[in-house]
Amino acid sequence: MATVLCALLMATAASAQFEVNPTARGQAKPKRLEVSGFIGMLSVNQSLGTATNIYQTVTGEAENIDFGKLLGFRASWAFTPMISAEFNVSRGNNPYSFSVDDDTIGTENLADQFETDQLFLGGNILFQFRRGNFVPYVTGGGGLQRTTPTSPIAEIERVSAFDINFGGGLKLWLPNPEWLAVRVDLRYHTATDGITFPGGSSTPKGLELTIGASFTIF
Amino acid sequence: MKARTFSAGLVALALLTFVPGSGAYHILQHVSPSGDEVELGWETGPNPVPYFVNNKTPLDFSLQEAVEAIELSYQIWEDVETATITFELAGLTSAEPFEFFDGKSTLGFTSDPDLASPGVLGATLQVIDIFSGEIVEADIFFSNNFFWSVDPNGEPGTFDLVSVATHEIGHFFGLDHSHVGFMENEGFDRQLVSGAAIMYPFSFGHDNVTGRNLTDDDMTGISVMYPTGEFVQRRGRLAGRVTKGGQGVAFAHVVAFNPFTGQTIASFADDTGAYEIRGLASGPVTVRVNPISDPTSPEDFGFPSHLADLDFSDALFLGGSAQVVPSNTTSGIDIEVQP
Repeated sequence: MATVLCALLMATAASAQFEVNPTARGQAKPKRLEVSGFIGMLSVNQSLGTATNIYQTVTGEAENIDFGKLLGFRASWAFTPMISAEFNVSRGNNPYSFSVDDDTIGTENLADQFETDQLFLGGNILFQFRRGNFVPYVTGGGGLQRTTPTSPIAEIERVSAFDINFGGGLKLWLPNPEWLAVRVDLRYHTATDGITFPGGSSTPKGLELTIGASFTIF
Repeated sequence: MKARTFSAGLVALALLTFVPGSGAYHILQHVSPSGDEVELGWETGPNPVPYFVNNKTPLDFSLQEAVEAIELSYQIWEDVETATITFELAGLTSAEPFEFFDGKSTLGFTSDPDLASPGVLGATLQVIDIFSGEIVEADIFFSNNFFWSVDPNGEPGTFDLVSVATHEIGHFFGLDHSHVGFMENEGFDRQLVSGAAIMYPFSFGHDNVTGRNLTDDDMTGISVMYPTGEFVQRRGRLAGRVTKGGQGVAFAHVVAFNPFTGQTIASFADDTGAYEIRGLASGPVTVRVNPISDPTSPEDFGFPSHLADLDFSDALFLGGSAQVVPSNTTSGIDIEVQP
């Protein structure tokens, strides 16, 4: 992570002149600021651990964030045609299920037992490889992931963790208007902590798929 | 819910703790002459509830050791941070336990064959105002038919006075028996499962001091009766109905388990199958229901046997999320059981 932060600082210090957004028509506009809105989903792999009483053992697990339940915004600044620094903020609604292994009743799976709001705030570096109107890219970064139950849970107000993500995507700049692109993004997340039952440890992981639109500002 | 008859303004209720082997909390209730169901309890103010200890030396240890053990048992309940009731040793007395209407809540040992019947370790008797449900006196006896110990580690062949006194003091301030617990086979014996409520009708047996440790069910019981302001603000209720073939299941035992707090807290349905569990920490809970089961009987919990439905299988609430919200009642947690 220290490497990523150093790269981010170095990129911030860069100030060379360059063309940021050449289009298929050969136009070269030195637009450096780009903003994106997106909608998506997140497949989640997260165990809450187990809790036991004299009757049963309950195992908790995060469910996937369905498509449409993940919304976000990105803003990037291009330091070179190839390298951009991007700020990300996204919010998702994450349901959780219980599996109950009861001594006399047997095993039952209980879906959607509670929900959390997940807020991600962070920064990434993008390496973009322009091919006319197509701009594939790879990205990596980190930030804060904050998980807050939507309804109060005793002894848990929220859990904050450091999240690392990496992945890639594709931007397709439209011929008209030329300041608009559609964007598909796929990235893998892993966080250092998450909501758990007492005594449990959690390293939530997930694959985030988003689609959105990007705009160049100036 | 409970059929009891009364003939005077004050009446005595006896609660027994049985061997062998040796929760929802369940608050003692009674039907007032006007037909209202009232919960029993002390009128608590800034002053502690006074109690006396009989001045006869017990058979198995000194009087001073007995007094210290009884004080420790009261202290165990006073240490519940979400409850406000406190107790105070008012002194020694020559009065015997179960000398009713003397205005002294007295604890002591007895060999009286009318009280210390076989299998009964101890008992609590309360004198109540039948109109308000206020407890005005409560006596506790411990039976000399058994060997006793005050050793914190227990002694072979003896029952721990602190454990049994802690249970009886639960009755002293108004708790009925809890059904959080069950017996499990251990060799040729049956042993109360570890984690059972202190207010379960049977003890943990001799050589055992487990009964010195309150469970969440016990602590919630005293806190519901004598709550701090914070407890009222932060805890919620769960309510619903237990049915079988669409008909209410009388006196079904309903258990809520919060995996985030580890708290297991239970209550009983009434004679229509409707139930309410108070004092639950916020968050999602699993809810299971089971009948009153061996070795306990409906009478152990104050229910008439002929009304209690014991003919159904354990079941789990599968109807969605049972989410407890502070200061609110989450209703509609209905469970259909099968015969």
